[in-house]
Amino acid sequence: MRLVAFSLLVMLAGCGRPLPQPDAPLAIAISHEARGTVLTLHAHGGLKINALLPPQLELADGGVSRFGAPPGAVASPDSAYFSAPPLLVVSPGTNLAGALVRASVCDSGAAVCRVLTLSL
Amino acid sequence: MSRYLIVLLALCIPVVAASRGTSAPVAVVASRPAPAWKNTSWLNADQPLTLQALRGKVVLLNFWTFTCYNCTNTVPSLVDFDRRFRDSGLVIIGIHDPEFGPSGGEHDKSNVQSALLDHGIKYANAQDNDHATWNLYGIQAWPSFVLIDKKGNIRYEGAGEFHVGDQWYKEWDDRIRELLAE
Repeated sequence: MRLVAFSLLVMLAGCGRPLPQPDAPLAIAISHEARGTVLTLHAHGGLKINALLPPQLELADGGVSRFGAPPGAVASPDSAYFSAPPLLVVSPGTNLAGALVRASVCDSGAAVCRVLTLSL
Repeated sequence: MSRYLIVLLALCIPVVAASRGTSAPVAVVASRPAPAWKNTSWLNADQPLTLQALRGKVVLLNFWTFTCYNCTNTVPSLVDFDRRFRDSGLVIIGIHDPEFGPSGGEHDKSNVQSALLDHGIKYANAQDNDHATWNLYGIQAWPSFVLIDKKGNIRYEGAGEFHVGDQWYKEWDDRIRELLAE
């Protein structure tokens, strides 16, 4: 019951803006661990995340941090794309308000790349 | 609970920018005057190339960046076009458009120079760090191409990787020949 109430609260508080479509090209999962906040970037709809220009977290204060491959992930055959969702561990206490995640993603069908940004 | 939190946060984070649409690798467009680019930083060129000075030439613009795998995969085709058609009047110009801000390294002229050497690119390249030419031409994705005829009109546009000998290479090859013959 508490979980349901919490979920509703989060949805009401945080989802005031229109939700992305179910096939939104990028999503970030956020989890809190002892080592810090872990951001994991997921691409959908046949998109691949460029590993030659790794996604980056851009903080409101100008700080920039890059995502990397998760430990043990096997590189894609050409090493140009992440074979597993890239992640970034943000130090505890980092202010993520107003931060952006910028990612270069490539469409495997049309063979073009584009830049997508997500606001946190 | 954390599992639900993750899912909910993922759903709540909006994609705020940037859908960069795709177009056919080669598309016929209504002929229209090509806008004049004003890039000031050039590589493989003694002086900035201008559209006006290229009247009488067929010009192929390639919007790219060295961190884009689709772009660098297409470079061998462009190098091949340059080798085969330069003496016939084709001028290829790379318009180097970074995907990220300066922290990504794409803005650095020395990095672009290294990429030109790595890929055997001898045709001119302009740095377009402020995306002025990208915006001027309404480009939406990397790599993109604009083919301009001898009168300075845009005749063909397209986007997407292609390789020496494949279908789209042949399409571009045909279009270049067509404009060179006019």
